[in-house]
Amino acid sequence: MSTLLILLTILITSACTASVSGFTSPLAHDYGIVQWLPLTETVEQGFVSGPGYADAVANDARTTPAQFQKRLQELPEDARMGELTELRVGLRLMAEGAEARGAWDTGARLQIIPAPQLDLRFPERQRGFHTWPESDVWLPVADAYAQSFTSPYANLSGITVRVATFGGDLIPGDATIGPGGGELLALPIDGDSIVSLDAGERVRVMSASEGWAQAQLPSGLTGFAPLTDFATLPQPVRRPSDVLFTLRDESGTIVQEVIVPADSIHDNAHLTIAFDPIPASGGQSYTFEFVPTDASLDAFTLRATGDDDYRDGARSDDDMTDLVFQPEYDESSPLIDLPVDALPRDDEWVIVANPSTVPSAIAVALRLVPGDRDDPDQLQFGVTSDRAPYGATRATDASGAALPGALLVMTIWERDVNIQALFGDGLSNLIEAAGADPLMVAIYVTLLIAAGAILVKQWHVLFPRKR
Amino acid sequence: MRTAVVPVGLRSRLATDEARKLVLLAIGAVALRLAVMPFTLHFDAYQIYSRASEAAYGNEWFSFTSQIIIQTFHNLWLLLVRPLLPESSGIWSDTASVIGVGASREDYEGFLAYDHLFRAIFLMKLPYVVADLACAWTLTRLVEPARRVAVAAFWLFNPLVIFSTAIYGRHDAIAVLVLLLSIVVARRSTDAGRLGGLVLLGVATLMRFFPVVVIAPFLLAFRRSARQHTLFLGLLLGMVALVELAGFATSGTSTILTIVNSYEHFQYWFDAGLYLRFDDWIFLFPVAYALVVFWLSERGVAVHEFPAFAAVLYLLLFATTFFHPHYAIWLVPFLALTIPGSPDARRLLVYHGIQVACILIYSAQWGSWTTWDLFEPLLGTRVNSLPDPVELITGQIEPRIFFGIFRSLLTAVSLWLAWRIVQPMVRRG
Repeated sequence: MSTLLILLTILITSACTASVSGFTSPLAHDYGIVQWLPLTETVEQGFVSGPGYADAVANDARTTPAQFQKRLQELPEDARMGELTELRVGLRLMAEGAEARGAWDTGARLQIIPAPQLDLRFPERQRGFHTWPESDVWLPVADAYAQSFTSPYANLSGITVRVATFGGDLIPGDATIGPGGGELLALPIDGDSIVSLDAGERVRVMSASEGWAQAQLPSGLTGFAPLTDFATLPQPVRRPSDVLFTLRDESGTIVQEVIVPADSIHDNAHLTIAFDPIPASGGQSYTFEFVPTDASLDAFTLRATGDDDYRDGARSDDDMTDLVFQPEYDESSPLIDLPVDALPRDDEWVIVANPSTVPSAIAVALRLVPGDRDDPDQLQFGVTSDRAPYGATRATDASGAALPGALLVMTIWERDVNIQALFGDGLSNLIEAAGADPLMVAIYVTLLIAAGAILVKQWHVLFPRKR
Repeated sequence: MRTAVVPVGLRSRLATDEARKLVLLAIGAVALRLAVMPFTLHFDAYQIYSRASEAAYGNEWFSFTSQIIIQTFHNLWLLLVRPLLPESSGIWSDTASVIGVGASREDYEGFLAYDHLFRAIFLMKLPYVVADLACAWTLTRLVEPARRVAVAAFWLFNPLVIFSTAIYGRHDAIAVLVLLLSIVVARRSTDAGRLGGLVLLGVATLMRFFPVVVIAPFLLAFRRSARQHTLFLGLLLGMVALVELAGFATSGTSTILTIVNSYEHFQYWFDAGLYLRFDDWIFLFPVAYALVVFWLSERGVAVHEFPAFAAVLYLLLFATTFFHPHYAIWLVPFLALTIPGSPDARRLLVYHGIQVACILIYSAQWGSWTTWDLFEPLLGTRVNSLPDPVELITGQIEPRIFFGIFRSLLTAVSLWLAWRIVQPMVRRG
C-alpha cells in the first residue's frame, strides 16, 4: 500500500506526461460498406485535423458538424492537439493493369489543403448567412467596435461582420422599379424567384436587408429586390458615415487599415472588409476595430452574440460576448502535395508517413487529383456511404457536387497526455463537490472509515495466522 | 468496567467463524463498492433515470413502456429519492424516452454539472448495489453452510459484478436477484413454492431478457410431475400472452415481434452462424442451446443440478454470441454456485480468471465509451485526454486480430469451463 502511495505521489507531483498515439479520424469508428469509384476528376474530403474525434462525437450519431467542432474546441488541449505521424487514404488500382507490374504509374496527386470555409468556430459561420438568431443583439451605437481573435490559417484577407444602419437605406413608403425591370426573390441574393417586376411598376417598400429592399406588390406578394433595381425609393432620414477599419497584431501594431465608404454599408447586412492577404497569419492573434468617422450620425452598429460563442477571443466591451464575425482567407498552397505513385502502400491504403506539416485543430480537405497517365479509370478511391465524417461535409467532386459518401481517411496522431492535470482536475473536482455537498461527504467518509476500521480490527478472522 | 453493548441475538449469530467471515466479507464488499460508487457512471444509467424523471417529476408513468417492470422500478425509486436531490428537475433529459432519439450529449453535460452530482450518482446506484449484496446473501442460502463463505466471496469480489453494478451503474443485479429468489422459493418442495418460483422467474425474464435461457432446465428441475410441467409451461406461455396483449392494448403493436425484429441484444444471438443459401442460416447459439435442452429433457435435471446446467447455458451464450461487457454479470451467479466447492475449484477459478481478463479486454472494443468515459463524473472533460483504447490498439495492430484473439480465448475458456462443469454429470448419466 505504501509503495502505491509513493508511486501515486510521484506521479501527481512530477508534472509528467505520457506520449500516446493511435488512429483517430473521421472514419475510425465506422465499419460501413466501401464503394470503389474511379478517380476521373478531382475529389475533396473535408475534415478537422487533430486527435479527439471520438471524444467530440461522444457516441452521439446525431452530432452535427457545428456540435462536433464546438465539442472539439472544449476538449482539453492535450486531447485535441498532437503531431500527425501517419495519414492513410483508401486508394487502389483496378484488378488489371499497373498493380500487376508491381508499381503504380497513375500520375495522380494526393494533397491536404487548408479549408477555412469548413471551420465553424467563428460566430458568423455557426449561424449561416440568412440566420439571425434572436439571442444575438445589435450593439448600442458607440464610437468604436473591436474584437480580438486568433487566426487559424495563413493568408488572412478579410473580415466579415453584420451591420445595421437604422434605416440608412430607405424608410417605408412607395417606390418605383427602374427601367431595366427586376425580379422579386423570397430572400435577398439567393432566394427563390417569386415574380418578375416590370419597369415603372409601383411597389411598397418596408425595409432593407443585404442591400435589397423588402417590397410588397399591390397583389400582396412580398419579397426582395436589389436597391439598384429601383428608380425611386423613399429617402432615409439618416445615412452612415465612412468607417475606418483597422487590424492590429498582438503587439498593437496596425497591419491593415481600410476606409469603408458609406455607400457600401447597408442596413441589416453582411459587410466584408477585404485587404491584401497576410501570408504569415496562421496561429497569430489579431484585434480588428470599426470606427465611424462621424459617430454622431447614429447610423452604424454591429451585431453581437448573446453568449461567448467564440472562445479564442472577445469583444472589447464585454469579454463574455463576441461580434458576429468571420475571418476570410485567400487560398493557401497545399500542406501536403505528393505523387500517389511514390507513396508506400498497405493493402488498399496509401500511406503518407510523418506528414508533420499538418497542424492540429484546423479544417482541412484531402484532395485527390487524377493523373494524366495510365488508364483514366485505373485508380479508384474508396467511399463509405455509412456516415459522413463529423465536423465536415461529404466528399465532393470538382463541381462541388456531393459524392455518395465520405472518402476513406485514417490518421495517426501522437500527443502528450498531461497526467498531472488529469490528477489535478480529479482532485479539484472532488474538493469542489465536497464543498457543495458536505452532508454527503460526512456520511460517505464515516461509512468508509467505519468499514475500514472493522476490517483492520477483524482481519485475523478472514486471514488467520498460520501456527 | 464498560462493555460494548451487542444485542444477544446478533452476538449469537456471530458466534461462528463462518458467520463472522460472511459479515466481514460483506463489509469489505460494501467498502469496495462505496469507494467507486459516487464517482463513475455510464451514460445508459442517465438515460433510464431521465426516463424515470418523467414519472417522478412530471407524473407521466407510462410514457416509456419498453422494459416496463424495470422502468417502473426506476420511476418509483427516483420518486422516493427526489427530495434528496435539491433543484434537480433540470438535470434530466427531456428526450430520453423518445425512441431513436434518447438523451443527448448536451443533456448529459447538464447532468454532470449538477451541484450534487456525486450524491445523485450514489443514489442512482444504491438499489443496484443493495440488490448486488442481496444476491450474495441469496447465493449463500442456496448452498450448504460449509460453502457459504466461498460462494459469497466469489460473488462479492467478482470483477464482473463490481464493474457492472458499482462502476458502470447497470441494473441487471436486480433481475439477477429476482432470478436467484425464484430458485430459493422453488426449492421449497411444495407446489406453491414451485409456482411462486416460476412466477419470479417470469418476472426476472420480463425485467431483463437473460433469464429466458434457464427456463428450460428450471422447468425440468422443479416439476413434480409431467402434468405439472405442462401446467407450468402453460403458465409461462400465459404470461407471455399477457405481455403480448398488454403491448397491443397500450401501443397497438406486438411486443414479441418488436423484440425479435428490433431488440438489439436479442439479435446478437443470431449473429454467429453458418450461411447456407438464400435465407437459410444455422445459428450457433440456438443449435448449442437446443442440443443441451434435448439432452436434459431425456436425462432429466435434479434440483441440485440446476445451477450447474444454468451455468453451462450461460457459458454457451457468452461463448457464442456478441454481448456488451456489462451483461457478463449474468455469467456469475451460477458459476458462484458451481465453482466454489467443486473438487477442482482452484483450476476452475483460474479459468474464470482468464474469462474475466478476456471480457475486460473485450470491453475495450467500445473505446472510451465503456472504459474511460465511466470516470467522466470525476474527471470531467479531462477524461478525454486519456487515449481511446480502440484508437490506441488500432495504431499498433489490426483490431480484428487483437480483439479476435481475446474473443477466441474467451470462447475457448468458456466452452472448456462449461465442459468441466458438465463433465461429472455426463459420467453420471
